[in-house]
Amino acid sequence: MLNIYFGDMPEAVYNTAVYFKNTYRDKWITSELGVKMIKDVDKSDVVSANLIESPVLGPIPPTQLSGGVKTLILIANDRSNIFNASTCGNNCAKWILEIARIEAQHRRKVVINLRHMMDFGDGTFKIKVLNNNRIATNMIELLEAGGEYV
Amino acid sequence: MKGIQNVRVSNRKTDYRFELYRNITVVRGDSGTGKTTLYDMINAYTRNGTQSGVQIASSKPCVALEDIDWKNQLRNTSNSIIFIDEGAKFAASEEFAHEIKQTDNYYVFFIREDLHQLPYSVDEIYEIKTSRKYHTFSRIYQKNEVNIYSLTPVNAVINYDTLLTEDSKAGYTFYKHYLSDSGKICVSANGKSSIYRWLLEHRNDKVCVIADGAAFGAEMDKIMQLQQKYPENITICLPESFEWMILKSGLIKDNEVFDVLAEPSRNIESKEFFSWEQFFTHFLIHKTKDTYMAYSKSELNTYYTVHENAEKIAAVIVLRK
Repeated sequence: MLNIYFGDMPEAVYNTAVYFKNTYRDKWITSELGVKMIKDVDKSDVVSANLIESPVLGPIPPTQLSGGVKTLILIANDRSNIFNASTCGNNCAKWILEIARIEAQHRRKVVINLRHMMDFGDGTFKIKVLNNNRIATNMIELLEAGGEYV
Repeated sequence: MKGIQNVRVSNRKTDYRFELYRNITVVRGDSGTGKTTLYDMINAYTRNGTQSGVQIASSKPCVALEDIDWKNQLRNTSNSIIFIDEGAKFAASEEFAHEIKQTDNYYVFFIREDLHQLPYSVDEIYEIKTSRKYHTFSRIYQKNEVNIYSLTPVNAVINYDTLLTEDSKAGYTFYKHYLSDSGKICVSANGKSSIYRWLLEHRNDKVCVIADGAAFGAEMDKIMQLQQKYPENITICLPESFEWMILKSGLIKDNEVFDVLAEPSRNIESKEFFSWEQFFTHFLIHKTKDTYMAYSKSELNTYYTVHENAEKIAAVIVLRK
């Protein structure tokens, strides 16, 4: 289950790009999940830990990945912090759910902070809105449970 | 600043071309579409000028606002286009809104967070579209000829049982009077921030929301998501403002009104008016002052509720009883 706190959350890392730049590890980029997320969201191929082939920009370092992918990589790998996932577009939503699913297999919970209403699609999911502890299983329920906080 | 600003930002690998119509523009959309790349290019140019290798073609200086010392940077920047990236936490603050009010800059935000302190238009929310190395801004919300908004193509006719207005004063008085004896209900949400909750609580009613599009940007994302879930029940109609509708109706026969409505960007100075909504209110009051049409936002002149005149105003958005 994914946990979301909507609205201002002072303890959450707001500028995820800066945090990523100073903390990411090579293995986060080359992990199976990292490679898949970078390919899907940024349409880019991981060549090595320090080199990514972007169709638009050519060869780039990990620090030039999109803000969304950087945040996804942080959510997947840094369990000591909560991150501002409003740096992620709707095309990152399925990956946030996937990270929560993977972490749940290891009995770990994923918490993110959203300052806008991300569209998690037409499918079903399990998201707990931490502002009021309500659980949403689809977008209508999530709009109802969390929409007022953003 | 006023006028449409044409901007081109390029380097050897990427080329962004876009137009800015008002003082506040918001760029959001999917990740990986090039927002940060554009900001980084402008930031490099801000620091190093032409020696950055970035080329900027714009009649106004383009400046990237940095996180640190943003207040000083703002106070020393005028008549410029200022770009703000998503890492700027201050952008959503009341303090920031206060600082940029009455400045003559245009502002471009690369931020998904709903900026409730800023009165930005639903028409100035964009995503970046890419074709090979070329990038441009594309409006996220589509509207038809009568200002009904959707994420998909929409019908021209408003079908509703309840009309929900953002306004609780002149606009609400107008719609309530217009719909009297029609069998339809007119309700005021008492402010744009209450519309979302009202719609959730009445999701099975056929509701038409009428709000001021010129300053509804921060509410738009979640309300359009709700509309998508209940497309048969919720219609979102966002004229610039109620005062714009009166000006547009033709009731005030004045060449300046015609000229201003034809090209608002050329006529609205951002330093004087934080949003076009404020301008249209000021303009209508000015144009009708000391006449039988004298407009007041707090109390609606009965001239505007006379049957023939009310029909002309309602026709601007093809509102039917």
